[in-house]
Amino acid sequence: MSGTRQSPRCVPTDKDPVVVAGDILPELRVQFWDFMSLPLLREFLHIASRGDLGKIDSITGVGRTDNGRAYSFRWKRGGHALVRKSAPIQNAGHARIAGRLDFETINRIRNFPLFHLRPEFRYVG
Amino acid sequence: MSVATQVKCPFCYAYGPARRGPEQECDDCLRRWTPVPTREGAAFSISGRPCRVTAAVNNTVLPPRHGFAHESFRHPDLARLRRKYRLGRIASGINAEFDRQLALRDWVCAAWAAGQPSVPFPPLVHEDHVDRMLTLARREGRAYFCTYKAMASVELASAFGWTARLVNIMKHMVHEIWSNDYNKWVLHDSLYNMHYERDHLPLSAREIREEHHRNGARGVRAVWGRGRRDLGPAHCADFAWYVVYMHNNFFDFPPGDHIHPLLMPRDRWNRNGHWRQGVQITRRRGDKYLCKGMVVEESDPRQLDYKINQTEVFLLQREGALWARFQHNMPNYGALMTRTDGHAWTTHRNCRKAEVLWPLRAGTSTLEARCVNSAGVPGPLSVIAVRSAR
Repeated sequence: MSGTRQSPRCVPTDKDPVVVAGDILPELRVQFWDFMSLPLLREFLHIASRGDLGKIDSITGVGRTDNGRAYSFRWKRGGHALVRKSAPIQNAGHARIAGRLDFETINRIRNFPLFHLRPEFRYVG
Repeated sequence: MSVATQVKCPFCYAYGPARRGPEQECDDCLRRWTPVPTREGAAFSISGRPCRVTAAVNNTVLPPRHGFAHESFRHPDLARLRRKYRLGRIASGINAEFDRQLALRDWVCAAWAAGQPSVPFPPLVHEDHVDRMLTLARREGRAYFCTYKAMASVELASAFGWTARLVNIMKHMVHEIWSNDYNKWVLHDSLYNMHYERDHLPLSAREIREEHHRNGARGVRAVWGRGRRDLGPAHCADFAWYVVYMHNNFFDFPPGDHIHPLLMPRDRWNRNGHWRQGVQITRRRGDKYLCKGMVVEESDPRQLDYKINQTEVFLLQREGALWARFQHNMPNYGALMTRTDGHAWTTHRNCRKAEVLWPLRAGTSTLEARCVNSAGVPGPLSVIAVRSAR
């Protein structure tokens, strides 16, 4: 956990937490739907690093592309994003995001197209 | 006879056949007038002074083939939404209209996460459903899917004085907002906080569909957020079919009310084709939306993307002077604004009665006209510049 000051409503993040206005989470785990897209992932990390999503300090995670190849990724505030091949994974993967995550930031992250890709129903990537 | 070969009366806006000679007469109101061409490069003379149109952006008002029921910007629920959610703050400090529209989309995206709706079905009949959704999302963390985001976006756009319309593409609901900056409809996806661009120009649903059919949408990019971040090549197959809901007065008539029609492109790309989704695929019969009997099919791109907020300028000669009259198609019309040669704007409450004497000076003279809606949002500018000799 980061040293972010927690609100009284701060909830554990192992499962998809119910987030309401006023909540501030130090950490959030987001699942990929089916797979991820590498260009989208890089753009997501870039957008997060520019602060467009909200106050995010770090992102780590693992996911696989639609051809089954797995990648792990990491980014920390002030540093460069790192995306590299990793051992095969069974499920679609996840991203763990840390920072001072308020209601709007969490919704923006959850709605980002990266986390909604699926074979028959995808918009980008 | 096509509209292009006809003459539009500057008094009653009726179309009639063009008559020989300079003077025209309206078959409807029987008024006579001597029109002056407004196309760029056209030459004419006023009291023997030779003149030439050197620049012309005259936003023509086309006769619409399909009606659209607009929300009143004075609807009390809009005022309540503005107050309760302090909507003014969303776009404060942003000047460009399109950037303000992106700010609204970003706000709607951040208002709740995507998910199954958890309001009692059918939720659309609640006259305050936007308020309900926003409240339940904030208080209980409820989630709603794309249809609700798009509906909320259309209503919130009305709260800003913008005209928006609901667009259902294959398996997804999005919306379009009329952009006065670009003088066109622009498709927005407020669930993913995205729109689509080609050569940095935002696209409408019709344009994306055309790009998809023409070249697999090779040049179309997905663009995210208020900062217009390029997400890379867009996947546009879902735009092969779409319908536009021909109303946005959702406070009184929820979408899918079987009263207002839906507009669907039917052209060379989908002639004899079937939009089948879900049960229609498994049964191999039926067409999505068409089976409901409320779809109007249209092939003309000008009608599919019918331009609103236009102000058309008519120039006419009378008693040796140049006069201008105007026509607009702005929903929630507020006033017509005109000015000549960069002087102060003149406000005309009644566009149909507005008549402006345009005294041409030696050199280049300009006439500008635009309408402003009841929420104070100005439409695209029509500009005509004429160079005249001494």
